[in-house]
Amino acid sequence: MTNEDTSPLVFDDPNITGLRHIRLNNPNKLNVLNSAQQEIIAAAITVAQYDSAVSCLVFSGEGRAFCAGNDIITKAKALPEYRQHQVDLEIGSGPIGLHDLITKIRNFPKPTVVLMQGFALGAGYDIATSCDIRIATSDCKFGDPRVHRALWAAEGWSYKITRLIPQSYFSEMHLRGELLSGEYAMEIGLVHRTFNPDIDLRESASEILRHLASLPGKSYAMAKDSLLRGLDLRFEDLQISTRSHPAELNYK
Amino acid sequence: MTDIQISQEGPRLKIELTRPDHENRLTYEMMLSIRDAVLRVNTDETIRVVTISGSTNLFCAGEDKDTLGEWPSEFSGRGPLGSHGLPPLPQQEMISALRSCKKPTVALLTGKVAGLGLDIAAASDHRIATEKTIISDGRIQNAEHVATGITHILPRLIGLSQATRILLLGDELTAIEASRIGLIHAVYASDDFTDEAARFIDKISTLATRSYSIIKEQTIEQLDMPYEWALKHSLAIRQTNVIEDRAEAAAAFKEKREPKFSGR
Repeated sequence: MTNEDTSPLVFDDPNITGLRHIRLNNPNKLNVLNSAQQEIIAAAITVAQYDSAVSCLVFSGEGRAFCAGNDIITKAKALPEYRQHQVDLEIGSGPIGLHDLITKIRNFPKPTVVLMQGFALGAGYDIATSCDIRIATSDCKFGDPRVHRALWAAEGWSYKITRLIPQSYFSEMHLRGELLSGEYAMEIGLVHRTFNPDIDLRESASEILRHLASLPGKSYAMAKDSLLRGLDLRFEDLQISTRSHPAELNYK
Repeated sequence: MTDIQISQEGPRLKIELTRPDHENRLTYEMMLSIRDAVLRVNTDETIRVVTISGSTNLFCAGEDKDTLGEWPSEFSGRGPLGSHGLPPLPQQEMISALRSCKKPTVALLTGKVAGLGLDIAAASDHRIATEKTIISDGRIQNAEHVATGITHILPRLIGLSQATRILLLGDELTAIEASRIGLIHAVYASDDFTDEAARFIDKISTLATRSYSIIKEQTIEQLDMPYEWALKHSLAIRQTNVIEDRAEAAAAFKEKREPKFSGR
């Protein structure tokens, strides 16, 4: 047992102004996430939201995989703030922490990108489907195998996927727990770019990351907000809500 | 007005954007002309298809805030001055009218489609294009406001993931790529486009128009309803609409011939 620090790394890109990285750093375990790591990520997101120097947030993982899911072996205790929500059954702390995390990512008012190589499963998949832009290696395995572990998948993909891509693809991926390749995910529209697996995705994606980091932030935030709200609003209500949009949103 | 031509050709209402020196960008006057024409069509039995088109190699590049023209008098009192400019009321009303038009609507995409031009295309029922068509949004890139309702329409047409790609990432899509993701229904070579489009429009204009409009109303309104409500909504629509062409359809079926619909 080593005491190597496996906490996610949070740092600014040396070459692209405004780009902040959150990089999972537990490569020996394919970057599976425990609740303490989720907490670190959530805190880093809050900091990035209010840091005017940050114009784009990118999630990635060290090593062979982006993220193979939640750490279901070393069950971390629920964090203090969630204890009162804990269900007293033998099912652990439940997904409350992960709910908070992916909701923060989803509502983040600046561009969010995920870079996926190897695997993006379970919690990794939840993070990916909460980002604006998904970039993968062509051989990346992508999806949610929780059905095969006799687990729930209570993190909102049943809502998100049916809105991200046409519903007819849904049963194949989710009900059967089939994994998609990056290439196929691109074909059905879930992934926006695929790249050669032999090259570091940060390098392959640098052009698109630079582009996203340079966009006018306020305009982006307004459009993103109305895209996400628009999923749950009637057409007329969305039109009305966007009329007063610019005055309400006041971040750069 | 020379910026837009609106004319009737048989059962077809033709809306042509004719402002090529400004890449067919819309003025307030053009927006309201489109709105009014489309609203009138709803109660005009002689019209059974509406088409919106641009020039040979250009559909519509959106709007240009410096050449929108005078704020329309009907909106006086609804355009408070502020740092974020005038509200997009004329844009919204045009898109709403198109989206809820009771007749089939076809956008004929030839060349550049951007910004408000994308909204017009997306609010139409059918989008057919030349192979040279390029679709993009561009509003975020120009730090503009996206507030026409496109953020409601586009995710429902092609999914949120691809809508994000167009609106937030700002990808420019070729006609082939737009067709691959389901945004465009047919792509034709530029040389054949006029003939193919005419065939497409003729076919739509001979459908049972009343039936079409009821199904369209159901589909669009039910996008925002829970499933159980949608069933009740369908029932209510069925009980309160008469389709005269049903008799002709039954007769044609019996006589083994093509039906000739009146559109009523």
